[in-house]
Amino acid sequence: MNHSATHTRDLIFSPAIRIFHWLRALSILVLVITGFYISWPFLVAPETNDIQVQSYIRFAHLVFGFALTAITLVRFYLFFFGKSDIERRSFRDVSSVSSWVKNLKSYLWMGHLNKAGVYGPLQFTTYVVISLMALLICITGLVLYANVYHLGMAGMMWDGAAWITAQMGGLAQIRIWHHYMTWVFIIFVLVHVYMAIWSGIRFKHNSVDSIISGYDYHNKH
Amino acid sequence: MSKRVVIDPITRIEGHLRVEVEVDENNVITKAWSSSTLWRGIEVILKGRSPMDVGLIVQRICGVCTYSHYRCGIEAVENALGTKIPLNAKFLRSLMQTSLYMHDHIVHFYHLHGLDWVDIISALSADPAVAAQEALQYTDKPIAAGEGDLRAVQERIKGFVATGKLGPFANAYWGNSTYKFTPEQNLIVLSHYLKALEVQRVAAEMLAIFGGKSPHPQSLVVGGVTSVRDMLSPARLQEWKQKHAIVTDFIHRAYKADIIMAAAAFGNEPSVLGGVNVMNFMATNDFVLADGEYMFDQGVIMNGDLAGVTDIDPDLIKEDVTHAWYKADGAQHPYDGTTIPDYTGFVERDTVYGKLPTLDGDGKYSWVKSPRYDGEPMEVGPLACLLVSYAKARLWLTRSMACLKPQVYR
Amino acid sequence: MDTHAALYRQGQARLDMLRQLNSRDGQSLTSKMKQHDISRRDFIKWSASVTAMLALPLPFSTLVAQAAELADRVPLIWLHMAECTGCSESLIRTDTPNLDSLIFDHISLEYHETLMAASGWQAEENLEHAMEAYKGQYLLAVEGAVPTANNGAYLTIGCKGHTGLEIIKHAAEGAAAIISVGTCAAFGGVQAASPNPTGAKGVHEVVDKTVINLGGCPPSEKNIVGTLMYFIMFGKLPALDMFNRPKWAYGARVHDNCERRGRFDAGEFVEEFGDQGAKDGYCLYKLGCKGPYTYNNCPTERFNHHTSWPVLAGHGCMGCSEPNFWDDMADFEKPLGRQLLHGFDATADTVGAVILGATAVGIGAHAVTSIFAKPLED
Repeated sequence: MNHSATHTRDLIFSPAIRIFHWLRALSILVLVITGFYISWPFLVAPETNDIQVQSYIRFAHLVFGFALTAITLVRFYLFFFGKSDIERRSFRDVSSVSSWVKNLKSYLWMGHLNKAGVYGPLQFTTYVVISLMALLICITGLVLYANVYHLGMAGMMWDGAAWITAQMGGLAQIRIWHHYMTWVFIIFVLVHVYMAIWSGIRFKHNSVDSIISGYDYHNKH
Repeated sequence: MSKRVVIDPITRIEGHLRVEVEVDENNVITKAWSSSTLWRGIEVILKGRSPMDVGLIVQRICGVCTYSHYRCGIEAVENALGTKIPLNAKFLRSLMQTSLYMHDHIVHFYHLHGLDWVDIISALSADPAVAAQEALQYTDKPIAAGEGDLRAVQERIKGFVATGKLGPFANAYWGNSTYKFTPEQNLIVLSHYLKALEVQRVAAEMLAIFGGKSPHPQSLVVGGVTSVRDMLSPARLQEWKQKHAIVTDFIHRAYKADIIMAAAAFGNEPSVLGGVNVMNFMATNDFVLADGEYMFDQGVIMNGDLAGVTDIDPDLIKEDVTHAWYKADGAQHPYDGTTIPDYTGFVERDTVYGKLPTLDGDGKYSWVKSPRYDGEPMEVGPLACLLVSYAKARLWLTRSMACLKPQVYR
Repeated sequence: MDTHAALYRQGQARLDMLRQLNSRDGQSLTSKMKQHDISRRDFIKWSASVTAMLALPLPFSTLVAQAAELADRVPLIWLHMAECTGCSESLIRTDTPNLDSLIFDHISLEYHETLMAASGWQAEENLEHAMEAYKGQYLLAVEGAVPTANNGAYLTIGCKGHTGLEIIKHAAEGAAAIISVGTCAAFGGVQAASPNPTGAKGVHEVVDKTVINLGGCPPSEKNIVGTLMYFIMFGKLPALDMFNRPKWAYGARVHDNCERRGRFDAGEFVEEFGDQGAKDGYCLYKLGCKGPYTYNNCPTERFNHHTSWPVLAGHGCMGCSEPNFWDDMADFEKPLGRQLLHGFDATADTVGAVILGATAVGIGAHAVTSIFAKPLED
């Protein structure tokens, strides 16, 4: 039996990218849930105040907040200095009008997606925005953190936190924007998951699985 | 030839007030204008905000009568929503209002108004022994008016005046013939002025017990009060009662005595004998005593006709801006009221101090609107409260009046 | 400790300088205290408590005591702008023992519209005289915001009809230091709330000098008197925070030192005013307490001789010592997350959920259309 493969198998996401993607997804999930509790404490207090409900939830929020901060930094590093230039190549698409037109048309069921890197221009731009948003929500989060714990690392951050607080017009503003940005993530996640599934079906490639296995399959010829 | 006198700032009040008068050759006032020279735009700022926040915002109209505006702002919303509040909350509000009444009257009488009729410099020539005797004429247990107390006060002021640097008392009108007290009487009130500084603090603490702080308490919400823990604490209630006793003591042994003394000294003044300029009075229900029962009755007295006292009809209230720096087509009911600034400025003219910017009496000249009831100006406030309740024959009041009379006209 | 030692020396030098100046009334504080039945012991206790409040080591209490005795050498001009006199009222309610108020009438109070005997032309003369005679030396305290719209016409003071803006600029020129007493003078306050019809601004926005901002509506009498004491002692401004508020008073959030903080951490919240939680002293966060965003010392110092403070009285903090709090912290009885967005009449969460729902609908439409769309040819 002569099996000739109809598709090529390409490694598009390095293990590091995949691990950080899922760690980030987990962080966002935990942060959104705990964040909503902090914003409006919806749990009923237990019989005893030995169980420090708010404290524990805030602790989880902080742990995953630091995780998200670290991942955001690492992800920025990987993007610019990773071995493969598969992500960076997308800059070419972003600066090409025809690529944008093709991209948008393909989402409206007209023609193929044509891209140089792993992301289409709209997809890439969205990721850039969400990454910057992650940076901002981490910064505002750290400013709020510096006000909760005053020693150690928070103590070192204090001057910077105070400066940012003054620029934004007070802690309340920091907190308000921290809250608004949460919604950007929630809406992003919904669109992101849909588009991953949809583009896999529409463009007949290994879309969702590739962020787990790292591989995508393309028709030979 | 009439002359114009400008008085601005009027001091020892809350806010910014300018008064201008025209006097004839005999220095008799023929015309007078009063003008508020500050606009802050609270009505404009309130628009579009949560009604729950109204009380806190309007409270900032005045830091002296602070709680009154807070309560009215809250109760306006309660009335609009038809909210019924618990009786305990009503009582607590009355306790807070009592505190403010006591505080405000003391501060107004001594620290704000007092320097208009107490000559501090004259008190220096008083004989403390004679003054101590004099104090006994107005109450049998005077406070801070024993010979020793008065001597100490006098010495303190002496040292102060000797330097010629009078600080807040500098460049005033000491020695003017409108000061009617004898040196001894001046010394008594001056001693009470200093004592009242202490006592007013206690009165402010009374308000803070249930209000959180004073000025600008923060314990009322639409629907009731928040200080339930203080209300349910016997220790807190006793704390209030104790402070109430201290302030009441001062009121009976100093404040009331000084009023009687002042009434005798100033009773023959044209400004007192002339009575009030406006003979119309208006008051609203105030001080909840029991459910649906108030210490002060609401009502309207027109043209001094006590027998013809009527109930208030809120629809007859209008605000006029003919002479205020706002645009409007005629007088408006507060429900439809607008607040559109229309500043026209001052007019340059000769005054006793030379050429000065002065009020344009024929045009617009103040930031305060003119409230009218059925087109008439009304007097509201303490006198109106008492007159309306008296006209309605409230027993507690007619009884107190009966007690008071023989002392005043002794 | 080295910095403290340097500070102590600086304070001593300053007080030595003050000692050279003439006393105002030639009467020592000791004799004044005697008249008021304030014992030396009370005075030392008071000095120590002021020292502790200023976050200075105990040896500084001797400086505090000396400064109090020398306080009458510092001329103070207190101006009223667009205000409610609440800050002056706060000041006259200073704590027992009577010392604070004694200090107040012991310092050289040159101009204060709520307390002075003179009115009108004579009052204006007092101000002009003080600004001329003590040029470069006087302490300027301002209460109230400065209306700037329409060339400042929304406030005029004095027979000459000068605007508040003109008076502040003039007074600031000759001031040794400027203290904005209260949130209005510091940040604009209630009249600066949206839409700010009078263009009200904080003093620091209209003068080009450093201004100490005492946030609070009103600030507690301790914060006012403590700041005056610091200036008298050291002749310079205290360490200031990001909004130029003295760190000794505004260094920590209300939330950090709140007596109900344990309830917050335990997740025990008052759900509505007057419920069992309210009676048990649960946390007021869900009823809009803005303590987590507000720097002030209310929980530790309280108001009116330590009688109470809003959280003890069962109402959340409204954030009154923060810039722009009338807009940022409203609605005052809801947490920030439940704030109604202006123009939407909805919370951020409602708006977010609606956008999320719209997105889901869009996704659904796209998905359904995809089923019927022409498949992609290879």
